[in-house]
Amino acid sequence: MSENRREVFKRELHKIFSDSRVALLLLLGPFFYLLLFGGVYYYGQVRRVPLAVIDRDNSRLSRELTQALRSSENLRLAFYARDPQAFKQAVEKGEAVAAVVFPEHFERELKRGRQGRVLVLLDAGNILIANVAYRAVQGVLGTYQVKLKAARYLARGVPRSLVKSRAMPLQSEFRILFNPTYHYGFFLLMGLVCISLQQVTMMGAAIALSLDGKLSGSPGDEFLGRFCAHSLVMLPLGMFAISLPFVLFLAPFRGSWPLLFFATALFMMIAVSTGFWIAGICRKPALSAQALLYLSVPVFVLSGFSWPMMAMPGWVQGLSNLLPLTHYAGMARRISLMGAGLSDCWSALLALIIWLALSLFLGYRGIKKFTPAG
Amino acid sequence: MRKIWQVALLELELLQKQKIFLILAVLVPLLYSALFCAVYWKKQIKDLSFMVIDKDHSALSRQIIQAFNASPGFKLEGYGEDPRDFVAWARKNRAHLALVFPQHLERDLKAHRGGKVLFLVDASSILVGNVAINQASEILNYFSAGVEFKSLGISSAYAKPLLEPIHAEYRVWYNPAFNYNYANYLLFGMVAIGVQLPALLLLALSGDYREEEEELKKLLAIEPGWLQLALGKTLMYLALMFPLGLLALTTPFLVLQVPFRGSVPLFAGWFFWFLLILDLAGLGLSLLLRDGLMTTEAFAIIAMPAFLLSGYTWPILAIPGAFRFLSYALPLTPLLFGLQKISLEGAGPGDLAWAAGIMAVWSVLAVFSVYLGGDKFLQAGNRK
Repeated sequence: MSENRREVFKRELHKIFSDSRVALLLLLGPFFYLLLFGGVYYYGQVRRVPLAVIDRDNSRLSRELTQALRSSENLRLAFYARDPQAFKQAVEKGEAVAAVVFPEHFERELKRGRQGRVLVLLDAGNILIANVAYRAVQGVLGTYQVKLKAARYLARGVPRSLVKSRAMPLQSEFRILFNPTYHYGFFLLMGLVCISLQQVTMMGAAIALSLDGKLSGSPGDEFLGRFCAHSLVMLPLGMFAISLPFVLFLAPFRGSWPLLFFATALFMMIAVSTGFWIAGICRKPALSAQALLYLSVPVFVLSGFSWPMMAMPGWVQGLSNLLPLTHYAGMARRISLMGAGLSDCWSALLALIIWLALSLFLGYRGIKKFTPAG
Repeated sequence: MRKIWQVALLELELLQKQKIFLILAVLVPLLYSALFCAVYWKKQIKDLSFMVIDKDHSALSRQIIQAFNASPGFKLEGYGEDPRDFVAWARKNRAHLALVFPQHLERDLKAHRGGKVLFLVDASSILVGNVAINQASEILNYFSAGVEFKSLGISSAYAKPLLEPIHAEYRVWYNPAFNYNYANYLLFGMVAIGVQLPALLLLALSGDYREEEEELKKLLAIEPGWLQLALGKTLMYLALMFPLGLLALTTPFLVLQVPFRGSVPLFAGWFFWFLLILDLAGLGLSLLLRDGLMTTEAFAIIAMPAFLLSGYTWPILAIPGAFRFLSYALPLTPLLFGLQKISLEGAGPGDLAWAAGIMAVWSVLAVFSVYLGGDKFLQAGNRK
């Protein structure tokens, strides 16, 4: 490293640790977001969804079914409603999400061998909650369905040993792979950590550069010195932050740590260089910070981490594929949850390497604008 | 009143000098709205790739595969030999579901011995996993009912109580295609973020006069009190961001035909109240810090996680206690609760009581913030 480069490197390193506007962001930012998001998704599952029961039958069976609904860990009996109108009012106040209506003569019809009808009312304003309620109610009713079917087959003279295969001839068995407990934290937290890392790294690099204003050194020295200083701080920090969800929140890790760390290193270097580039365009620290904040939301949405890329229109998918976060976050999820290896991730790694080459060029151009040569 | 107007005009001058910030703040809500409409344009997760491991090679297994492939939810990606193939395919993002037909499935069914189809589901993305399970169950249940009906050998009228002793009718309110239509549910909240962020960030520079000494002199020459300063500045931001924000928020209803069931004036009024709180509180912080960068960073800390904490996507009932308090403490939570209830469920003012309570507390805090910031700003300016 030449004398000038070493000087720039030392100066930048000093600023990262001493300027509160940069230090707080870079050193605390990733952990603040990680703890916050980790806390929000700590339970990982939606449980105890408030349920109302409208029991017009008041029979032994309706009470038994109500008790079964009550026992489900995903439901909480909020109240007995008089009619659907009372339930509607409760929904509008956010006090109930689902209601099960047992009509008059429900048990009598079943005892006579007829079909009993149950009405389920569902507020699907929030799909996550509605899904949990729907599945829980379906599960309870399904269990009773099988019991009643078995009783009716027995009554028709079907031998006990054949009842199961007659009542449910074609069964389905679901094996949920990679996230068997349906934990939302395992699904989303990694993506949120990735976007937080990108955000603070880019903002730190951009703000530190634009706070300096005019630079006296050559563009090459300034670029290399700054790039090395930010990389030296952010690479280990990034690797530490990316491993915390598995340590703190016990998310399962099934893949290769070296592969994840390699991908993280590439991604952090891209973020540093891109931060320089954005600073070169914006020049002012506040403008750089704002531009990056404005970019963060659409970048996360486009990355396909929450809303899957396959459900986006073709041209939006193209746009999504242009973003480094799409490749990195997707790869991080595949490595950690699915145990993917190099052979599964090579295309994403290649995309990151191409992005790194491009971002180094753009970052150099960004820094050049602050030097006399620019 | 004259002083308020003079402060407002000076704020407009200041905004014109910071053109690029102004352009960003004006464009972002509309661009976000357009982009998010594009992202959620399809509204549903369709064409999930699935693979087949068929050890039965029967007419029934082929019929089931055909039914899956014909359904809009699934697209046949190919055939494998072993369930382990699915793990490799899923890691490469080639398949999200595998259908495994065991040997002698059809023969066992014909002999009334029953049979089992195994589904392997990639749940690394929960949205995809949910859709795969729900739709696969529906298709297989249909086949199962068909096999059972055939084995009974009686007319459909008699078979019904035996096939389905309890018939559950589901009436889904406010988002009838709830399992599949994410546009009604998610899009609107995302756009609200696109409105909150620029409204806050534009305010970040309002207290920073370090490069605008002439403007500061003109402002101090008016001799405004803290209230006149706050009202004058807020007036300009409200005049700019209210119509823009409202346009962005209504775009999903106009472009993607997301249903709107409530009162437009209540919807607009609720948004105006939120924006007023945001402007007053944000302005207070900006005047207090008097540093555009510091204020931007402070706003970033608040604005970025606000959406996740708001309970709009991840329900508040599933957030642990201390974080739940944080969720209720953010003004975005009552805003989104109110706007969603009004638009999707047609809620009236009486249904928004707890949210209005939080907004009322925030209104007091916002006035206090702007008093504190405005007073400090005027003192510091006069000293200078």
